[in-house]
Amino acid sequence: MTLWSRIRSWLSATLRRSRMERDMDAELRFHVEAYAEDLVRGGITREEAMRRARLEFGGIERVKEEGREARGVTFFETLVQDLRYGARGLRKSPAFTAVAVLTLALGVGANTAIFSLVDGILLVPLPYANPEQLVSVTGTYPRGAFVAMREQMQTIDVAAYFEGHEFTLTGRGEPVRLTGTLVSAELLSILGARPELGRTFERGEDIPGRDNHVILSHALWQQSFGSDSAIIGRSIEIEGVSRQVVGVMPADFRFPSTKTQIWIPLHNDPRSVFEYWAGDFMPVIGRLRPGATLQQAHSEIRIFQSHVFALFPWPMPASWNANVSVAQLQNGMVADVRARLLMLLGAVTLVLLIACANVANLTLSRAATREKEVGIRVALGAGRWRIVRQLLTESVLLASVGGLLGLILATKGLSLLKALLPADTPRLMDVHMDWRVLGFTGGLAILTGFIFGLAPALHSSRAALTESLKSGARGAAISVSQRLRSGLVVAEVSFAVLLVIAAGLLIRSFWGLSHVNPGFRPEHILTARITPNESFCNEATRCIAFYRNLLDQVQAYPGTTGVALVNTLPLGGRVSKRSLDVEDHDVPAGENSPLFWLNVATPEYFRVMGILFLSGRGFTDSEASGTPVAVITAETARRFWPNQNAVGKHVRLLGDKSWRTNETPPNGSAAQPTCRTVTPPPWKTDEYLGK
Amino acid sequence: MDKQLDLLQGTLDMLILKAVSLGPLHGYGILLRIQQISKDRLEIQQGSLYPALYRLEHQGWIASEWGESENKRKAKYYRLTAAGKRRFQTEAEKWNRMTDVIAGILGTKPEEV
Repeated sequence: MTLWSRIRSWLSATLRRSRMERDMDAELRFHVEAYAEDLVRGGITREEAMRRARLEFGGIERVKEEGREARGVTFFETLVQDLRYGARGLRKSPAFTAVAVLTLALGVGANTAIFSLVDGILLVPLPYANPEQLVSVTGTYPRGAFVAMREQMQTIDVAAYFEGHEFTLTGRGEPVRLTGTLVSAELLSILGARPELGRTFERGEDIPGRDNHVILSHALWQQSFGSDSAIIGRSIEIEGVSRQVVGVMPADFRFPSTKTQIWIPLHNDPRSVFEYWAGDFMPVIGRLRPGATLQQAHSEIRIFQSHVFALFPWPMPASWNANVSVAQLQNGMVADVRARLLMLLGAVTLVLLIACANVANLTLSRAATREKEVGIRVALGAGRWRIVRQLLTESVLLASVGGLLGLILATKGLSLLKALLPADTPRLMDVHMDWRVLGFTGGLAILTGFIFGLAPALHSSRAALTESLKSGARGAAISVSQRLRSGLVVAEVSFAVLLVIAAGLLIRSFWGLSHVNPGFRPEHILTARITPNESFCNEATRCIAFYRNLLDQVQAYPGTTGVALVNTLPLGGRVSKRSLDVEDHDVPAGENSPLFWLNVATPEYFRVMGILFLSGRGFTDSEASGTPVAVITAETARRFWPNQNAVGKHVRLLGDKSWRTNETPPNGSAAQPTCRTVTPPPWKTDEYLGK
Repeated sequence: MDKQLDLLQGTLDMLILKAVSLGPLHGYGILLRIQQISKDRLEIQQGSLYPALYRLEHQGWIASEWGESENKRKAKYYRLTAAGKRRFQTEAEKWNRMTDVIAGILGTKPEEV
């Protein structure tokens, strides 16, 4: 009730200001006159009575001012007054204003841009229904293991997907290369995604025979199908296979990323043993069932993991998914970029602090020239807090102008950042300037004004007071000022040193990376990716003839010194992993054969790539028909046959009948020095198998 | 006549509340009533009365409206609100307890310690 009366009194005083002033005038006049009348009755002349009444009442203006303050109406007036005064002062010293505003704009702008990233990627909830129920399983599973998980899990409904398969769309003039994502039938419904047209996949539509469907992205539907809504129910030819279009997703649906143009159901066929148990190791997401907790899901997945090994047709390494856990989907998706983003945020915060220290220093030196002005104000009766408040208002005004300019810089900077960041940065498309960012910038600008303004304001007001008191403390004030300024410089330099060190470390890492010997010569090599339709390569002779023809034609281009084919280029793309039996290394019963990274190449590959042989020889053209051979890396040779000649030893692919003879370890570690999957294979090694 | 006492810090509000609790009064009337009750033993700065009145009104303890004075002139009259009444009671109680304690301390004789 009293709060309400306060607000009401403040409102009426503020909104009906002139009436309040009139009332106050009338009331005070009544008082003085009533008193004067009483005095007249005591036998004094009227004039004398008025004079004494006024005198005894005291300063009417002061009473009025205190009255206004008591009603809380002075706050905004003083603010407007201070702002006007501050603006005038800033206009009068354009050099100071320009430097300060620019400095602050840089600091605030950098922070705004990075905060937009942090906000859009880390903070804003995922754009799916009830995002808090969505989880991700931190491991990758082949089809067979996923199907088992889908059947067994009680706490979560799970879905798997595999991003980045390339498909060829044919039958509509020029063939089109598409990037698609394989999804289990329930993926889209688990995310709660609604199609723009048609429907999403239904349960069971990832079973062979029922999986000839496809869902299009909005962009693809627009570009390749002219936004024709009659497309639903029609068939299109993908990889030489006819698939029925069942749905079109809306433009703002981008899972797993913007790259996806089509969604195709997984082909979960237990009869294709290799594809089913080793084809694609897929990330798994899930939705907590009602009442289930993250912790329960986590415990359940650990139990599942402990007996999934038994389902595989071959032994799996014990370390496979050993640390599997269930995390919030959002945290899981952005885990890789979180640290980097927070580091960036830390860096720009330092930049802002440096800007603050800088402007504080400028303000201090400006304060020296304003001492007289502040002194006069003090002499006229301004209190210390009044002076501080006025100076702070000026700082916040300065910071706000800087913030406004910073916002413009940030808008430009953000689009630049989005262009520069790797395209696979999760949720990059979700990043944009919105009211949250605006609020952040506004708050930051005001806070910045306080940070750089407070010390100089306190200092100036104190200096002015000592000055006006003439206490001879001028020397002391100056030494305080110098201490403050050197403190600011120290802070500035240490922040800057921190930044320089961090930048130096980054450059050092970059330099180190660019000077790693990759084991091949990347100069003068052109690469191209060829993916014939899966159905085309079903027939081996046709497929091999196609590649032969391709090699011959490319070889015929002028200036070509060599042509080769390889499954996976070094340092890029996915490498298939297989378990191998290794000669002299019998695996005891119950343990797993070592897992190898495996590549397939044509004979010319090693020469074209400039990979040197330590011993032995490369492949020859006759390899395809003769004894099967393999090339191993130096690391594998050291690992399995230390101090022996690895050439002539044998390895055997699990499932192969005959052994392959080792040819030669190429020098160094051509290819994948780091493993990009969640669970690294036990040995990071490349094997080359002759085809 | 005894020398007039300066008002203790913070007591003016209480005196105003007491004065208007006896019936609506204009500012000058409040001043007169306090002086009359105190038998002129208190010295109140006339100017300091008004900021105190505005503050009390702002806080909702008293309310004001324009009326006509004894000599037929427009004057602003203040009266106690319900909230102000409660406020005055707690304040007065606190004050009484305080003066008791202080008086007790000041009145202590050496042999009683």
